Amino acid sequence: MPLAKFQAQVRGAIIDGTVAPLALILTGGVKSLERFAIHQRHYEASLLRALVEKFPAVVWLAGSPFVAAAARAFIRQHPPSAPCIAEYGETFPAYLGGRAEAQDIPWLRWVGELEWRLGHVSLALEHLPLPVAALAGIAPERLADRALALQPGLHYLAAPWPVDELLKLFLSDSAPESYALDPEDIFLEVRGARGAFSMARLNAATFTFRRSLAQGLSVASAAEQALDVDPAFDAGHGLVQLIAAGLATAIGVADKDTQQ
Amino acid sequence: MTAHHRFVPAPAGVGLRLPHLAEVVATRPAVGWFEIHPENFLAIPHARELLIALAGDYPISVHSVGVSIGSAGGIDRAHLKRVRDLINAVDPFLVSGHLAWSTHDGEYLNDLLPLPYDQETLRIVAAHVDEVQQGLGRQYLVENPSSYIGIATSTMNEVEFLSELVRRTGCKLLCDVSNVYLSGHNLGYDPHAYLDAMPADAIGELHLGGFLSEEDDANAGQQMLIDTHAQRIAEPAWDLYAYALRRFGPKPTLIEWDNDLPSVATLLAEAEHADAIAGAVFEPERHRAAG
Repeated sequence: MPLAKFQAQVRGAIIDGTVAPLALILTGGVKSLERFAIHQRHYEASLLRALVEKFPAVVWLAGSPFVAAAARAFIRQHPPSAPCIAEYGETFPAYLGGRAEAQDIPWLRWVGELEWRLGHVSLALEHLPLPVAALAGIAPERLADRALALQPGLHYLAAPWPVDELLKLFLSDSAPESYALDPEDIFLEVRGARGAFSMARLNAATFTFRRSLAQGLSVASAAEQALDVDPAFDAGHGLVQLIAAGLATAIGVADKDTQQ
Repeated sequence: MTAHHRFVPAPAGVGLRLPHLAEVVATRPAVGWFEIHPENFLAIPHARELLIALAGDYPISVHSVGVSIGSAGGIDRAHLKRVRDLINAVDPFLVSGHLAWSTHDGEYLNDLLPLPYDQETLRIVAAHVDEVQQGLGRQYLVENPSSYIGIATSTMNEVEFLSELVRRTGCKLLCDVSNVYLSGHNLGYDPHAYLDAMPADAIGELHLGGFLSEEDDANAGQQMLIDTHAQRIAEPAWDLYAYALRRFGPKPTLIEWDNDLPSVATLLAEAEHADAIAGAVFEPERHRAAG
């Protein structure tokens, strides 16, 4: 049997549970398929553990059986695409939110989205920030075309629920007897490095400006996006605030040809 | 391909896993060397930064669990490049991986899966080892797997396969002594005969890991061994380690412990035990040589 066909059959047995084609190929013991189940169990158990460990607040809020059931289904439907398991699970919150059992807890997906980003930024490094004085060397008419490189441990998340409050409760280990959560659009800046993280709410225009810059847009394009949200947005002030907060590491042209 | 062997550390090393990283950085324990899985560090810049700092003080071995030299669909070149970048940053004295596969059609199965040992597999694995050695610019050590099942279409045994792989590619072998014991138990062969048949000149490193004994679902009333890397090295594996040292001579030896991690002190104690066994094996020879 060609190796590729054999591996397709093993893949089907592990992920889909289709073991019958392997029955005549495997040896070892009287019932070799029973032994093959070691690989099936390892696939599920190792990825289940990896996923659940990344979303402790989701588990805290929804319960371990609920999250584990969703994770098991996710693992079958969305196997990892690369060997770095630390990168596996980014789409799990959206998957979780799309499950029928989660329809009564629509905020759960957003807790997961925030938790993923907090975990991600806490593993990052913080680079030397760009000084505000760097702006002085650029003619105002040239600044509009420039793009900024931002700190790697920086994420922007817009959510329709105030899930940052839920995360704070989880992190402070101070759950009240009951808690009322009403829909509210929030705009979060999540920042972290070397094991630490923080999150802050921004107004919608500042959020849009900074997220657009993080996506690589030029200062002018990011300002246009922010002005669409709030015609009173002051892009110059917003730019100085961002740099003063140490969020930018380099300034360059918008085609990513950045230079310090 | 160039030789990057800065030196071969005499004492045993231990696997460095992320939960121990901060403690190791802070305390700088007395241990011969560390082995890391690059896949644990590639996506975590902070951990990578700490590892690079440690590499200035300890010899590092890079042991990949994700390169998948046995995949019929080819090597994941993007992943290989990431591994190469890390290797260039830490300048390891050894680079190794497994005789196994884990990727199929863009999906990573998070396991070290068995291969049929036949001419087609040999051709594919040899081509991939060539590609890895070329891509990394290093000699690659290929580890014998832990096995629970065999594959009926195999036309040669594992040692024959590994020996031919060495001949075709110039790679070296990482002999996991615990895997030899475990696979011999599970598949019914003599682990001593397996070690006797291995090409001694090609052995560049030894591994020792803990395994679990549980009821064999495939053979009622019998036990099978599971390669968990979650407990101390079993006594029969220590005995086989002494046999391997007599057969292969002194080699860098690693204590692997990946799950249910113990304290760093427990890992170091296992490494000291490996050193004591090596001392008992080789000291009489040194005395004879001196006399």
